[in-house]
Amino acid sequence: MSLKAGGLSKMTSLFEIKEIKNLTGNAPLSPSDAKTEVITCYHNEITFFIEKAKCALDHLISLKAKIEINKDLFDFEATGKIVELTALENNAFRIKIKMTQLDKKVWQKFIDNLNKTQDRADKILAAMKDEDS
Amino acid sequence: MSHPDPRIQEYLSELSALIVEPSNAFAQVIHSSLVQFGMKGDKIFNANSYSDAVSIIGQMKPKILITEYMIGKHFGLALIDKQDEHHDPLFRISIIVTKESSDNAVAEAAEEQLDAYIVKPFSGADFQQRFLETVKRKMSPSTYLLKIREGKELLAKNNLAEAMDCFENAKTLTPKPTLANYYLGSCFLQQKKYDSARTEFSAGRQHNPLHYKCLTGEFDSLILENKYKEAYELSLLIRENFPVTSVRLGKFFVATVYTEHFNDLKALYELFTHLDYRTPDLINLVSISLLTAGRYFLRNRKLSEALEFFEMGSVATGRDINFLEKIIDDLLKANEIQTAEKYLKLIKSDDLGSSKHAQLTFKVSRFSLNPEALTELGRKMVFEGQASPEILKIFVALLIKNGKKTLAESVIIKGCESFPNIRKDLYAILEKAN
Repeated sequence: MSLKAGGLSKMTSLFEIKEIKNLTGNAPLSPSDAKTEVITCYHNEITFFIEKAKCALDHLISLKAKIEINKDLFDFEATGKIVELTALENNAFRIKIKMTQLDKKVWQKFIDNLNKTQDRADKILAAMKDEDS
Repeated sequence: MSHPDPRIQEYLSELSALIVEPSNAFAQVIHSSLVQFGMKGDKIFNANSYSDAVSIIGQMKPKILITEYMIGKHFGLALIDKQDEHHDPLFRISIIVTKESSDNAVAEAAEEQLDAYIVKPFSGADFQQRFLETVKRKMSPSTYLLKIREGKELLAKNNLAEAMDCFENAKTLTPKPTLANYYLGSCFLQQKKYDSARTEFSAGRQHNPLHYKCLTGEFDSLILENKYKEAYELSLLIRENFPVTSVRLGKFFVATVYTEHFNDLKALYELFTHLDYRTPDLINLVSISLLTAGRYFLRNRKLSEALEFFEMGSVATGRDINFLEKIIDDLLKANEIQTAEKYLKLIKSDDLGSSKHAQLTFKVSRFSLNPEALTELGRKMVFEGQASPEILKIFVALLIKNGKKTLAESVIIKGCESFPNIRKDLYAILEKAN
């Protein structure tokens, strides 16, 4: 399998949450110093970890984020509904939001890049290990 | 998420796992996925530091390792080596889950026989899907893979003859036995039977022309045989088709320098700068290669090309004073005094005032300072114990040339206290003047 690599290619797909509001409660979802981390992005859904959140299932949420696709930066805004809420240790939560209003073009570009990055990693691994079977 | 096959659940229920993940968010997601797949919670260990991870691997010997690429300043890949001390790579499970997604990072992981490389953030069920695929492969390896494993175990016990029988046998178990070709070739390499080794690697490449292991096996064989021309040609094929790992890159530098494809070193240097991790050995090899290229162009009076390589070498070594010394010496020999002065100024602030710095300053200054100032500089160095044997010889000759015999005798006496083995040489310079 040829990868036509050259060894320098680096694809980046970063999603950094800047602000999240609970529209149902009309307040920030959590204090401004609360840590957030995106875990999964898929279709129109995003799952993230957040500390000290005040929310419940079905609450409406708005979020602002910075997206980096390779070296391009994009501002991203979306609104959606909490469809999964898991309480974790230390007053932290894992929240899945189904986005209903979003910049679909940027989001799709981001998801495509994420998939391409994973595909490339799979291909390199398969080509270099090549374990027959 | 659907529950996996009950056989997978049963298989996993017997195993232990270590999750090395500095992010709590991801650690919890991975932990809950493993429990959902049938693992027992008390058999899943967590570590968020490298030292904790090493300790857990030593004590609990987890068959499953899921780690970030970087753990603080350490590489997660190093943990795979630790895990391999307890489990055969064909049967353990090692997975990297990371934000780091360069080709080079994945290639380094592939060299370590990683089972899956999962990029963060996950897209959909990335983790679950890849983890279960890996488990399935490990649960029921083919007869062929079992035979390869048997051969590898024999190899580990230094039972080369039986291992080779095993790999020969494995060849009959699948239509394209590239791995068997590779391991058999490796056995021949160990025996220094290079022709036979390359025949096996070549046979592997007939099944798959770009089989990475066979390509690199053939390349390694050519390097060992000092067949640099062929090795260089093969390195181009490997570079064109695969990301380059740090181990491989060092050998590419060797083949390129020996075949005098100096201009190609620029592309290799570019790869070097993009590596996530550079071993001291690799840095040394790269700097020697770049120095060799610089010297080649200097000899051929192509100063700007020479300086380009000297500059790359300086950066590669982090302006190491010993490396700069070599460049300055070469430039002085080529009578490029002003350029030597420039390299003298590149010496890091940490090295200013060191004996080496004083010696280099003297070497360069002797072409520009007046005799009195140079005498004072040399005298100070000698009596402060900073002069090397080379400097002592230059200084004594200089003093005699300037008619300062008495000072020359004092310098010889002082110099011989530190370097008694050059006494004869120094007095020979004095006697020659008499």
